[in-house]
Amino acid sequence: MSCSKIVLAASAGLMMVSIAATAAAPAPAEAIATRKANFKEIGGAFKSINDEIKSGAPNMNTVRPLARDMAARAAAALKYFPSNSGPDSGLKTRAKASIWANQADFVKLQNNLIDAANALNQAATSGDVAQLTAARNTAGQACKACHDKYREPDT
Amino acid sequence: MSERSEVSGPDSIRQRIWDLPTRLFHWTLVALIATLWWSGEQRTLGWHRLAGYAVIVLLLFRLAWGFAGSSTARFRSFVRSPRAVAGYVRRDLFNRAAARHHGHNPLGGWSVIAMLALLSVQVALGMFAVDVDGIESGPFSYLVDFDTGRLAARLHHQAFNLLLGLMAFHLVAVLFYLLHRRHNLIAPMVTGTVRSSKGSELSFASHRLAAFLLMLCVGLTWAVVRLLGQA
Repeated sequence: MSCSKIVLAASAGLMMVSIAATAAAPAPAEAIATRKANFKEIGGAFKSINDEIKSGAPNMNTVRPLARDMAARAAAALKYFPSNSGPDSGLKTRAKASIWANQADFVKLQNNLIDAANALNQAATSGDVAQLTAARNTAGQACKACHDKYREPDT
Repeated sequence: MSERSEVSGPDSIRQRIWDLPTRLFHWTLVALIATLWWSGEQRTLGWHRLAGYAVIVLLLFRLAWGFAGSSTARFRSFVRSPRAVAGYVRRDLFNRAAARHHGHNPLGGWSVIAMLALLSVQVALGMFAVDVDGIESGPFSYLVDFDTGRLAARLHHQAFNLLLGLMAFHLVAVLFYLLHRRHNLIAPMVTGTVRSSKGSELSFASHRLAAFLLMLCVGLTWAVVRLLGQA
């Protein structure tokens, strides 16, 4: 084994260790970036679904993948709130510190989102406009309930 | 008979300066902006949108009235050159004895334009705004993506602060005229008339024309929002 190969193997090993460490406890900056991106995708998908509903004749082929994506992303959302990723981290985030002070309540609201997104996904699969509209309203309320309580308003 | 004896004393003529449509425009706009602020804060977006459409109607009407309305409402009568504004500021602004303008003075004219322009920008931003929950939105937000809609909402929020600034400036100016110049600008915006020592040649457009233009603006706004927008 040449010297350069040893260095290569060692650095590869180091990288794997650091990746493992990251997976165990994601760096706050990474968690914040990922959750923002995740919620933006949820918001974007939800807006597009809403636009379809508002058009009066929603195209279910447009709605379905969006609703599926929303449900998958809603299910993942909680992962991106490690306890070190609040405003105390000094990083730019609108997540309030009370999220971690009221973990049980926050988790409950997040689960409401997961349920609402799943219901929306089912409604989209069924293709029933009335059901989709009702599920849209519930999902919107789930977004709002948590934002009102745990997200700093935009300025 | 001297010229002076023709009138029974100074400030004896009731001179009409603001027509009813202009006054109604002004005070309705005040009420609508208060409603918009309140409904925006409370996030009762249904009312917010309706009041916003009403502002569009008013802005369109004011635009039309600025060309077809009474003398004091016409842009041609109150949008003056920078030179005229500078002259007014130098000679008249702080001079209690300066002649009173029947209508907007050269500086006030530009403040009207600034408020109308900012309000137009504000309404346009609102048309594309999307709230953070993705559920409430302006009628034309379907034309833009989520990020752009959120940007419009943020700018909508910030432009309102600018608007508050302009309105505060407007109130300070009115108070300045009242206290320093001893010139009450508020009463004429209510009654439409001032006491004056001499009449001035103002022409007034008919209320029938105003009603017709208003209907036209309502129809146009309805058509654009209802037929092209999605609320």
